[in-house]
Amino acid sequence: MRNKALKRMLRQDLGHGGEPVRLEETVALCRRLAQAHPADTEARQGFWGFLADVFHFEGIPLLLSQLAVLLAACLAALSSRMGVYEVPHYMPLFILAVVPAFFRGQHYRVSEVEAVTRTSGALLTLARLVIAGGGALVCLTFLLALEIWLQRSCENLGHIVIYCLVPYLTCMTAMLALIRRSKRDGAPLCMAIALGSVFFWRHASSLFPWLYEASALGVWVAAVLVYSWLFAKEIVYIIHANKEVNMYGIVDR
Amino acid sequence: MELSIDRLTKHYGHKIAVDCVSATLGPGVYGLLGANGAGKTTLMRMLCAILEPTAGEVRFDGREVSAMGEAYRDVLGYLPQDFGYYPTYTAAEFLSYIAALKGIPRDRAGRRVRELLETLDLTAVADRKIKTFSGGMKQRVGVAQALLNDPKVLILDEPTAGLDPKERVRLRNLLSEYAGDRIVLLSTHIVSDVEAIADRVFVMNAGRFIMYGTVPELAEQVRGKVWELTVPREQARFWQERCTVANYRHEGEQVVLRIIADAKPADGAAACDPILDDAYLYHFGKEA
Repeated sequence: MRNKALKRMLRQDLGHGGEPVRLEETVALCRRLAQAHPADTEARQGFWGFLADVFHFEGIPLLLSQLAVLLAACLAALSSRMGVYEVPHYMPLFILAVVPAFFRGQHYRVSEVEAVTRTSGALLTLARLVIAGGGALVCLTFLLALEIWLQRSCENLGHIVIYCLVPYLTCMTAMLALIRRSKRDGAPLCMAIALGSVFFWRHASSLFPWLYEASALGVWVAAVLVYSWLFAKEIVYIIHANKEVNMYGIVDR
Repeated sequence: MELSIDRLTKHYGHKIAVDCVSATLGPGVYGLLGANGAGKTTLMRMLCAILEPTAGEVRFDGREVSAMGEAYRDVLGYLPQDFGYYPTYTAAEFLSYIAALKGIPRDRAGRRVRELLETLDLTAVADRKIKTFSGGMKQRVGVAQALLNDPKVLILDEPTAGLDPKERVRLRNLLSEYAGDRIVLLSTHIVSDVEAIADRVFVMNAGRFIMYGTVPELAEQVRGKVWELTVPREQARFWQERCTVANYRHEGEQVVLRIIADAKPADGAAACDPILDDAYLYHFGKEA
């Protein structure tokens, strides 16, 4: 524990009615006592060890479901006349694929047990996000490689990345917001949003043809920035929820 | 070690689930008795910080738990009333998963899981999927997961629900043995469970503690209000409708009724020694 934190605790516990005297000596004494009598609490593992454990228990099914979506996206890209431009339509499916993993605690009523563990429901969500995000990143890289192979050029790579990011971030942010708000029907809502997004993006090019013109790039970049900001806010909330005893994603019955 | 509750309150709209409850819990086993809807589960969920109180606070060793974060969760073990599990996991897998969430390193987790499976008599079924378990076995898995991190504060919501008498005795003994210098709080509406292991008992009704004390202290509160009355069998119904009858025992053509009443119900009634059941029935009456 840092000296600053230790002093704050001492002030809080001892300092009713004024500044406690000889704070430095007290801090030093606390440290000496703590070294002489180490706490009987067992050492706990850090985030990376925890992440490895979450991967061990949940990683494989989560990545396999994403792999299935990747396969579908590749087949669609290879069979469609739009080629890899078909791929962004499938990005919400990568979210759909991970919904069961993110909501399984809620579905099987394990979320309360998970929430009162040291790592809490918030950190568990963060670990799942790292695994799901890593998987999605690998899939996206593969799809971009496919684009290069199909087009034999890297010319439109930037466009495709942006076209993929917007639907992905929209659905991911919506899913995190639903978990944060502890919606009872979070999972079906999230699935509906993902499927609705697939439908919307499939028809976006015919409904809003201007959206895919070079001049609309600014709109896409703005959308990426907005959704990245919203996504970052959700991540900050998760980190904050983990630091405090602030329950995350618990459905109040 | 001390867990203190200070004017803890929870409102759901206009409904008051827990109403300005205060208490200080030191090491020992505490029973929380109350009828369904008395506010036991809401109180326990607030103690575990699963639920945010409308007002009041919970402190552990003088520190507000909402500011302690993982330091509080690290000393906490909790069995919810509605214990859920992942159906595809075996008992050992589920406990290993919870051990991982509790931050227990894998080598130590494996040892701890084996110990608890042994203690709770689950070793033989460790590799069977939990979905194939009986209610009592599932409940034992629930207790095992709560004990994984060797918690200093153990909160169990209806831990004996679904257990057969033998399992209940076994669990009660385990908790008594485990308590030592820890704080164990268990809620139940089975009075005999609390009577057997709790050092102190809180009786809750309509979101408030209406009684608090040791089992003999609580029983003593209804001394002079417990009566035994022997009546012909055909009169039994009359007394059941008129008074709170704690017990009904046949003796030949007659029945012996244990009646809870402020005043002597009939000339032939004799005062008898009260037990916790009587105190509970005195407060909850027909409701119980």
